[in-house]
Amino acid sequence: MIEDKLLIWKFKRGSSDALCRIYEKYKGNLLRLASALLNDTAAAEDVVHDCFLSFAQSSQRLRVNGNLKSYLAASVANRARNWNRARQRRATASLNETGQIISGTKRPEQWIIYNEQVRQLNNSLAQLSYQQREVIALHLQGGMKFRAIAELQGVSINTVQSRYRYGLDKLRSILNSEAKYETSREYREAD
Amino acid sequence: MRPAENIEKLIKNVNIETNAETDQAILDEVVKVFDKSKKKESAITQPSIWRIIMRSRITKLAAAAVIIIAVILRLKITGGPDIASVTWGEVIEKVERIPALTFDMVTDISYPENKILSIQSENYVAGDYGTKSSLYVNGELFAVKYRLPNKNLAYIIRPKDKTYVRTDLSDEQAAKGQDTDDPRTWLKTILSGDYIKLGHTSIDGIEVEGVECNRSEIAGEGTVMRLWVDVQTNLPVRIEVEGQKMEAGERRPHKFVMENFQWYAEFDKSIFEPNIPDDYTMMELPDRQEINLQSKASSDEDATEKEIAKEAAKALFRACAKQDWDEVSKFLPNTKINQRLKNVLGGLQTIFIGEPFRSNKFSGWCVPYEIKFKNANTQRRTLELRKDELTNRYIVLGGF
Repeated sequence: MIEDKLLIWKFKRGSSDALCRIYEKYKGNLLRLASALLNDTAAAEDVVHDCFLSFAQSSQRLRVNGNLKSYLAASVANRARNWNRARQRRATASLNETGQIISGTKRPEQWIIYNEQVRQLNNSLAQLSYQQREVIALHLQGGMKFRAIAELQGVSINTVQSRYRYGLDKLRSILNSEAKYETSREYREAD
Repeated sequence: MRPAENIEKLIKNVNIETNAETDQAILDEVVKVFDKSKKKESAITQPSIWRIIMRSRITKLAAAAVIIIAVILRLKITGGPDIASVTWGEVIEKVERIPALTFDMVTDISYPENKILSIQSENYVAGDYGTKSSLYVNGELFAVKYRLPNKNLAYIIRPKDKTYVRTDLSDEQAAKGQDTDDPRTWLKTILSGDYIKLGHTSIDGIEVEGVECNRSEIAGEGTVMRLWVDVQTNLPVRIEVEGQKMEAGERRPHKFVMENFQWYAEFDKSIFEPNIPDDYTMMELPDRQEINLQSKASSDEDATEKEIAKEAAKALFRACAKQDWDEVSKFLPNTKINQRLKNVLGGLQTIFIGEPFRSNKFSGWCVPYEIKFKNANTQRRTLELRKDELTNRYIVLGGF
């Protein structure tokens, strides 16, 4: 926390080293958050890339009221939401599965390297409603407090807490049913 | 993945690795942008004065003392640091009192293949008279709209065709707050419920604060509205609305931006006189009987289109089976047909194609189908097809 305050102070005074440190410190976190929100590798990379570019340009007018991690997480969440809206507007939502086949291929410039655990978790998160997914990802991966998420989503803190609770319940049942399926498949293969 | 007893811990601790080369390339770009923005800022500011102060110990101490006194005085007077912010409650009240204003508007309507129809308009609003909008496409005037609530009339004049349409407005339609050409209608819609604060930014050198909201109950599902207000004057600087709009029977992505406001404009009220030349023809709106005839014709047309949509679905799967990728790409113009996709789709078999139907969620045709891939997996879904006006053929917008 104190390190972040110092980094912001230095960054606002033009320190490239501070910017590099912020980038190194939070890039993984933000990529993880964006991919949880979007479940699309290329889009998640674009969102985080844009977020850092915009952050780099904002040093003079930057105002971080809470902590830096939450500030960056909120910025990623806003961009992810815009990206999702644009996707809906393009009315190609159902083609995303085709898109996932494409983005599943490793591109030479690919930034994120997924492991199976992350991929499965993101696929499970993608089965929740966007609001539930956003609350869970922002709270657990973005380190944001429920109050801050409520402000970001424009709803009451109680709504955010229920979205979190119901989202986790649903996620738990999705993951449990996947685990059962995996176990029965292993048994079948062993036979 | 193991059973999810401790799901919170699992989500919290999951890790993503990154490609080191891409990492470095992005960091380099971010630093470059940062350096560029620093140069831009330093060109505006004058660091030499600061340097002069900092060079001498006495001036340095004197400057520090002046700053401390100024801060104490400021805190005493205002009770806190002075960060200019919009007083949202005052915005509507203030614009409601303004008798006349002008503004510019750009409306973008998206069509398939990334084609966008952009309409620019010059707009005049006067509380006692109504609104007038001159609409341009590619710099050419194509329509002038008048809305005159006091006379319960509205006109659309098309100078190029020498035609016009006159509409009688009911008292309800003419009532205050119903005019979508008046930015105040949007302003009130945005500020009438919950909104998210977007923080501060600068538009054309003006410091503004923004809010964003969805008013799906008023403007339709998926509509996003943003309002940017000058922190000094509490007057709107930009209004943005993004959503879908019915355009020639199709729901199309639609965005408009209202900006360049002159909130206390002065202009001659005679501009609200349509003055339609004598050689212009008035276009009649179709009466009820005509509408009924049209709907019968369109239901016959629908049956034909339904068959064409079904044939299009068959043709798509046939092309995949034959690995005719040029043909497949005509159905999927927005999708890159890469090798991985070819491996998945190539040689598929059609098991079943159902009867096309209309859905409230999609404005084209929905065609149920079941296909079998080479790896023996099957897929049972509903294809979403819509006719592309430019190529006059059906394209796939979802469900594949």
